[in-house]
Amino acid sequence: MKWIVACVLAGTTFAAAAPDVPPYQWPAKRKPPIEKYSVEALTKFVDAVIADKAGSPYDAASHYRSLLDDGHASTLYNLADVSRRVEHYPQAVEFYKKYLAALPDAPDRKDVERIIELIEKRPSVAVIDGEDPDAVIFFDGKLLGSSPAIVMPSPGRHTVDRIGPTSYVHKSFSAFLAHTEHVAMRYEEAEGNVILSASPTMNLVGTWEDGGTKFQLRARFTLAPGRYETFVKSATDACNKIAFDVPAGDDLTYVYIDVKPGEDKRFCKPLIATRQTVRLPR
Amino acid sequence: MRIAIVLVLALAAVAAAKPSTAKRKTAPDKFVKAAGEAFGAAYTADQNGDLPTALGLYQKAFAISPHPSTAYNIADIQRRLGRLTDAIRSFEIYLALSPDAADRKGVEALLDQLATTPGSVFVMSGSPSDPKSIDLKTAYLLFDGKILVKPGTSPTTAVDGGPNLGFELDLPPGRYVMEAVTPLTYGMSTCIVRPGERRVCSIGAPPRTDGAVVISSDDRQLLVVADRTEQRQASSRVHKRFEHPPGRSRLLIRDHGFECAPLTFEVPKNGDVAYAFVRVVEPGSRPRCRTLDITKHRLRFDP
Repeated sequence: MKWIVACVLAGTTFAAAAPDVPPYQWPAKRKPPIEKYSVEALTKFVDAVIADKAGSPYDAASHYRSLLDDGHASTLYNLADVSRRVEHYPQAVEFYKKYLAALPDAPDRKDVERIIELIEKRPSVAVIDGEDPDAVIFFDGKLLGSSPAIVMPSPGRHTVDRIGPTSYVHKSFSAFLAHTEHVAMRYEEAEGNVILSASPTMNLVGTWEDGGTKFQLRARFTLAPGRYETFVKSATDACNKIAFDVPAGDDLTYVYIDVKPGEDKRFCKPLIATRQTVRLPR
Repeated sequence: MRIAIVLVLALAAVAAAKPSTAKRKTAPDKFVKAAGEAFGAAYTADQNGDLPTALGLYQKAFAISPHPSTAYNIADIQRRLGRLTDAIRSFEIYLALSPDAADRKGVEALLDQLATTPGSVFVMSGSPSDPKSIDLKTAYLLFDGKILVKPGTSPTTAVDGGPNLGFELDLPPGRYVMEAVTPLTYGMSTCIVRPGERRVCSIGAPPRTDGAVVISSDDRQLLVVADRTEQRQASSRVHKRFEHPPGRSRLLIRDHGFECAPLTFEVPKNGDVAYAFVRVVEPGSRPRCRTLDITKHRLRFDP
């Protein structure tokens, strides 16, 4: 890792939860045939079991699927189990539910209902990556490190900044429970020693001038070393000025601007800015 | 040995009728009867040591009227004949037919043992007149990125006395990426090793393939590219030997379109080859770069 990042100011608490064992890592749990299978169907069932044990879950799923017309509970359960282990969660839930419907008195009904609940309520996952292999990633203004990165964001809107030696991309996305979001960021050439990023709750974009200095929001640009104080966009958009220092040298100044929690006002936004210094390789 | 079918047939012949009311059992189903006869003949053949005949008769019995005991006995004979892949399938059929079998745990343990029994492979190339034949004694031979044979090892004839020269190797069951790297060329093929069985795997290569780097993988979803232009064209360098500037280098890995950590390696400039094998540790899972295990070698060749 060539990058040295100095966190000058601490920001708000990072929302990512400690990861539990995800459903795809739970061990395989196959059922033997419960109902009577024809010899032909039994052969396909056995082929599925053998493929699954041999580490070919997609082949196993294909064999199980060829038996779906029979509606056997064991087939439905095992297909759900395979789907879970390859992270096809919607299909897994579908077939667990079909299993319960096919076997209303299933002795493991409570267990299966619990599995369904855990899958449907699993945390949101965001995979953040892109085309510039030297880039680092900031998530909601916090440094995650080098790309790619995986986070478990709280439901809601989030911001990602991807900064490379000669690139910068800014994106926002929505996180939902039980969903995996792929935040893929293409290479976009950008140079400069300052980035002004902003949270999704700040719906301001564009450029403004203050005292002869041109600022750009959600962009990478160049400023001379020194201290800057400015209203973001204008005194009517922001309730207060933000302030940050741009040091001399090759470091990149990353400023993350957010609305102060609980202080969003109708006609202007009370803002808070955190600054971090990113040391770029030369 | 399972003789349940024989017992069933015998019991069926007994009528347990009370003196006052006739309560006769019907004659056994013609299929059950025929299966029982085949089963009995198979049992006798097995006791006499005639395993091929016993297997055929048990298979006949099963085809006429499937029964768990028949499936078990088929599996047991296939095991004793060394046909372990067939035995695994038959034992699984037994377990599927008899989910509550008292010996289930024992059979499952046996299945694990059978499934991991090493197989053997005879690796050979074509005859010298074949333009794609490889001079095996100059080759590194790799299976899933592991060097199994180094240059200077002389190939031998096969244990079954065939005319071709090659290498006899024992390997755990599985599907392998088999590669040969020589000073002149590079070849790749797939070799499937089955439990306890012997296979012949052949490998060939173009007469000449230049380059100081070989990248390989066991997963078709992985792309290894030099830059974003190759990435956008999906132009992968997997299973290729290619030129690359000497010194520390880096290639980008993409899994189902997801970015993985870059592959870094040292490119030699003296005729050696930098080799890397990217193995996917998690089968199947999709929405991210899966966990990868990367094996690297510097394949040294005399100048």
